[in-house]
Amino acid sequence: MAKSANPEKFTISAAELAKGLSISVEKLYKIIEFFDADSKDEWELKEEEHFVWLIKSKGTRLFSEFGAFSIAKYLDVTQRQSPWAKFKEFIFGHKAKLRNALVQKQIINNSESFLIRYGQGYVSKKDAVKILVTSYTRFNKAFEDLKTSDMSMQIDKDFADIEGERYYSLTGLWRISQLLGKELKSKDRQAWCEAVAVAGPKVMKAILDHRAALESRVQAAKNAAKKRDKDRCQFTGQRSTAAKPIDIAGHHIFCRHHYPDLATSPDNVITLTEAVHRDFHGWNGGQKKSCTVQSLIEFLDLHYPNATEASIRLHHVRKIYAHLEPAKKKEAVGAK
Amino acid sequence: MHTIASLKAEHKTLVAAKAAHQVKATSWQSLVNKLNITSEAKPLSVAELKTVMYQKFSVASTTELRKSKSFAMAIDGLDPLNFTLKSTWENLYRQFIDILPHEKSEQGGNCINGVDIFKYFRPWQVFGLNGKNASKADIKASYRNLSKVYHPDVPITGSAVIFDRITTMYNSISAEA
Repeated sequence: MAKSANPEKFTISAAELAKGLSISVEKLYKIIEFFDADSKDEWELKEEEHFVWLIKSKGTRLFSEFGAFSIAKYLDVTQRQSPWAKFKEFIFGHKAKLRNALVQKQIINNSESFLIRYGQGYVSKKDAVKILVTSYTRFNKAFEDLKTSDMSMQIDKDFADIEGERYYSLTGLWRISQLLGKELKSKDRQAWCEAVAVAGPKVMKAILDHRAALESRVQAAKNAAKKRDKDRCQFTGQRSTAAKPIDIAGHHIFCRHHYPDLATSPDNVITLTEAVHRDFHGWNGGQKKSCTVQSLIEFLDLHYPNATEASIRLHHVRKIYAHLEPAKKKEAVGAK
Repeated sequence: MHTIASLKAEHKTLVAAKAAHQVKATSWQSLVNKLNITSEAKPLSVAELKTVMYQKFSVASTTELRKSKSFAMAIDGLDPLNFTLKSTWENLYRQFIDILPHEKSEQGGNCINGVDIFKYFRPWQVFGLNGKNASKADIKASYRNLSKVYHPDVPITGSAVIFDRITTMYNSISAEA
């Protein structure tokens, strides 16, 4: 498919359009053939205006709303068919479908903070503002309006302060999205806020399911690494046995928070005793500090210079992932 | 003055119109207002409670309400609801619509300024303030006055649970966005 200059403009497939106009796909293609047959008559479909090619060799296309409108107009004039009521319904439904997909994407991309607290789902204020695609000023005003209403926002139910950061629960987000849906001047913005209430719970549940599945795959990667390393600490050589059990940890060479794509790979896990593991994180500046292969090599050179095999392995890992960038660069400060 | 019989008839018409997606928001609001005025001593029926909830979430039946994603988001964190119980519908009305007509100006041990503070989260009414023009100082002064009555250390009237609830209200209306 040739890439359109405006891909977001062409979203209607032939099958969807035929269904929307209550005609068969065959009939739709006959109409298109008629449109294409004489370039001098009044009926014309222009590439990049009415349609783009999906697969040109097969003649399949994606239509813009304008293209769909032209075909509906043709049906109205020539076929004594009045497709307008159905066409409007189709365009409305199509727009809602696209909007829901965009809302869903917006929620997925801004749900890193999503957590469950006392059985309720919460997102940070920063994510809530992004999900609703609004400004901090407008969001704050909606909060104030709700707070000063008879049915005020309730702390630890609609919002909460968690580790010094403001979070909003799904019920709080629902209330704010409902208010914005009613009060915003732009119809599109209203519809967006209403769509958040529709897509929100489904996406949040999917995120939780995904996290649970991810957690089990991370655990599987750690188990595989321990099995590969025969439960032996790669720095000290200590091994856990029945007679002398020691705690062995699976350490992510590139930490899972900043390099989530590597979290499920056993190659990114090295086995260390819990004591060594703890020492490394302490030396590196705490559990929240980003870990990379470079920091682990530096720690190894400093504290375990004789662990040659581990050193070779870590240098190999560094070579493989030389191109790697953290998934999240530190965001600019400024969000209130 | 509206009679219960005339309201019931109007309600029946609205339910039928709602089923046919023809009811207007204004008609529904008008019914809620009349119910509030008329049924002072009479609790709302299950059908009446359902009607306003259906309208609130733009659905036509309990089945649709249960499937509504918007409703799911609004009740996130609540225990599973038993829709066969009237108390469930009353709780939903309390949470999403208004004070139940027969619970307006309630009196009793859990009531402050005519509202049962454990059934309703109505800080402004409890604090005797208007949210639209109350200052931070007003909120603080009102909280202090209530504390003088309900703080657990106050003999006879003191109550830890009531004071906790009042404090939650105070923290809620004092919070910034």
